[in-house]
Amino acid sequence: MALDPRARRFLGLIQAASPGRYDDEVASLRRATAALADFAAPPPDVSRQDLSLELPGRALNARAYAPLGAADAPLPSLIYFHGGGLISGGLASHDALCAELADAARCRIISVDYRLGPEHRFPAAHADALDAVSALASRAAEFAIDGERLGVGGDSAGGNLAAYAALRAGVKLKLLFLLCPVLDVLALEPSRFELSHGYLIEEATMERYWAHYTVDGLSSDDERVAPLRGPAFAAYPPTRIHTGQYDPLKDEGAALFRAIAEAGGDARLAEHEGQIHHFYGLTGIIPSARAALARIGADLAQGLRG
Amino acid sequence: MLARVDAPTAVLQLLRRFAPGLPSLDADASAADLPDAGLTSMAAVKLMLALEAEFGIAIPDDDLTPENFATLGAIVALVTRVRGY
Repeated sequence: MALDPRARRFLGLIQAASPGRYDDEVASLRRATAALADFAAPPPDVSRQDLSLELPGRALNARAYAPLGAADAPLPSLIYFHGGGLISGGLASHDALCAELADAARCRIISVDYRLGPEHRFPAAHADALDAVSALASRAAEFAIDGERLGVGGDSAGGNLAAYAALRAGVKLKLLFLLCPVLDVLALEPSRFELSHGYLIEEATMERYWAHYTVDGLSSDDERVAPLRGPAFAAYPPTRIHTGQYDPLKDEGAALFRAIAEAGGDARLAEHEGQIHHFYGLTGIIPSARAALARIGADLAQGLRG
Repeated sequence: MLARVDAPTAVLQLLRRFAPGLPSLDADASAADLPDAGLTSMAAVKLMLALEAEFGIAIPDDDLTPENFATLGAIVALVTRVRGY
């Protein structure tokens, strides 16, 4: 299927807007991620509660979303990690997406404001994800989480954190839920090369993200940051992966699906036709992405309850 | 009425809305390089969508070039050409 016409136009606008200069200021990358939030459709009304999540030696901000009228009841829950290359994004950039997911799946979403590079390099974000999952699972009742129906998820680089935490938190999870996840640090799968330029997430930007998060001695093949290079595919909880047909990261999503399935695990993959990276956050300007996001919400509901 | 919108003034107002961080920009600065002045790519995308809504135009794909959005003067020229006056 061809690229969605509205997505194609959006990509055209970005190309026209880009001066083509190489700008590796962290501030400009953060502005770009923050600005994407303006392209989401207005989300449904949901309950929002800002939290301070106490972890060993630090506290993280978090925001809990729940359907209206269900905020106090124990609910199936998804601990969520936003995208942004581990150096950008936050609760605000993914607020509409989290509200949409909570409403569509009738579940609680707990979005975690983990630490970012380059101020906090590896393993800060990964340690925050791991500790957040451990803390929330062990204090499920306090956060009105149905501990039998708890999942971990994220989009883009947040999917990388979710996969990391799901494998290592020592918590029995109902679901690992990944949207256009980053599963290799640098390009190894074909779509990262074929769609490396002009498809919203540039390979050059991926390299800049990595430069701002990595530390001396950390290989881009290290399984802690590149889940596809790990051996432990049978250990993943039931996993559902959503990608876009024109997302440079689609082949790594598919590769994780195959690896888990071949290891005897439970994995499902949906590649959304005509869509680009971050389509679920671009619902204000790509009408077909709204329908795709509705399917994602339905899949989350089923994954947490099934 | 859309037909009466004065292009330089309206473009300048949109620029100020979508790129409030730009240094004091006035109509005399029509040749200033906007990316150099701090117009981010996402702000530029929002500007383009707003231009289409404000002027009731659809910018042809062939006109989606960095050059057409590089300066206030280039944007005004593009709008004038696309809407035909």
